[in-house]
Amino acid sequence: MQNILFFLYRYGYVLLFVLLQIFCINLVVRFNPKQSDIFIKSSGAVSGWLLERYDSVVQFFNLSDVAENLASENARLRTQAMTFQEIYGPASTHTDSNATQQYTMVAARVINNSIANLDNYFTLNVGARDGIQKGLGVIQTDGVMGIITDVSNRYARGISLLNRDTKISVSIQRNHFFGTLSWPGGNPKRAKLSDIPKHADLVIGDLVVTSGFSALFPQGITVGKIINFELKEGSNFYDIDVELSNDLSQAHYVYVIKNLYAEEQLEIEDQRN
Amino acid sequence: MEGQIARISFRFILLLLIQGLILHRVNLGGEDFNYVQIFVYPFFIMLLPVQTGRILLILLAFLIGISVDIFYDSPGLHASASVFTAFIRPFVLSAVEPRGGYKINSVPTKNQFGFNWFVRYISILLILHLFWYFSLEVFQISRILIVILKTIASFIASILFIGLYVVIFNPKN
Repeated sequence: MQNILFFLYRYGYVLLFVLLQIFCINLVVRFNPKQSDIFIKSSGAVSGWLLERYDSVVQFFNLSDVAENLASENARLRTQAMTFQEIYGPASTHTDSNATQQYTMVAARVINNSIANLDNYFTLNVGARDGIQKGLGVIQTDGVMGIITDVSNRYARGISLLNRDTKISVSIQRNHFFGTLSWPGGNPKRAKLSDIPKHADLVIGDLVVTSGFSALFPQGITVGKIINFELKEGSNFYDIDVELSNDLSQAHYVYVIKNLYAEEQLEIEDQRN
Repeated sequence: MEGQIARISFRFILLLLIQGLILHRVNLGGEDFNYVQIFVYPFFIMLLPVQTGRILLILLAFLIGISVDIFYDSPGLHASASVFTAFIRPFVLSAVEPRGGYKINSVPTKNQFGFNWFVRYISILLILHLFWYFSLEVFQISRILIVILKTIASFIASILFIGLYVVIFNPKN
């Protein structure tokens, strides 16, 4: 005991120095935008590498599920392609300069994901060198995953749909009323749909899809279906509960959507503001 | 003793106000050479009596650093550099120790130890302080050259300003 006290008396200043430095650098990284940006980027590069190693081990255990999902998606796409061929005939040979491609997708693996927090984030194993940028949308086979917010060279981090900052423009497939989808926290399968006016006629089970208004997601990606709605007295908008069609806890392979026209759209939308 | 505490408190406030209100707005390099900042508040740490306990030294340095941060709106940056400077001050003091050692109650000033000693002592601490500060400010190892450039440019400006301060106020103890 005496030795400990003596040690503290003798070298307490080193301890104090270290503690205060930790405190200060914590302040620096937390409250200075430039440093916090660099910190997130470089720590993302380190933790991304670790997470990828970890994930490459863990993913062996659910390979069969993943393969099954991919196979069923393949089957669906093949059916779709065949249907189109039946309608329009075999692949056309002329090029229509009007019908250029608007969206491209980049396949990515989820190497980190959470669903239990109040604000959830995910990390993908693609980054700037794969052409990923800030603000791109991410979808799963059967629904919306989230939005990319930080990009390092090899990794990208994003806010999941299960995050209070995520707002997605969606519409009801049957009658095209549009609103905003957000997540209130809690159940990872439930989201809230707001801004649907009270004159809309709603049916439980109505399909909710992306509206395509924002530059993030193409139109018509299934998000979920309405399971409950109510009109509060005096309100002009419905309170709607949506059950998400995808399971964010089962996200392994996802697609990052690049909108080739995004810049043009944002440019013309910004002109007024 | 009480006179000393009053003097130190006065110096604390004076240096803080000079740094926070005046030097904060001075941009010597202009747009093109944005590397020069004048730091005078580390002089407060340097001028504390030689016998000041290390813990007290670190705490006082933290206090002035975090106060400067309030003016600069850069939480933690100046505080971290100040704490570092206070931490290494005893080592620097023993490195530049004059023959015969320090007397009790001596204060590291020009009058007590002579001009050469004073310049050497101030320069070592100031350059380390600036280097630590700009490393944190730039925060990227790959831009170490900018850190060094900023350190050197700011060192020249700061040491001149501290010289001016010494000429005007002539701190004795």
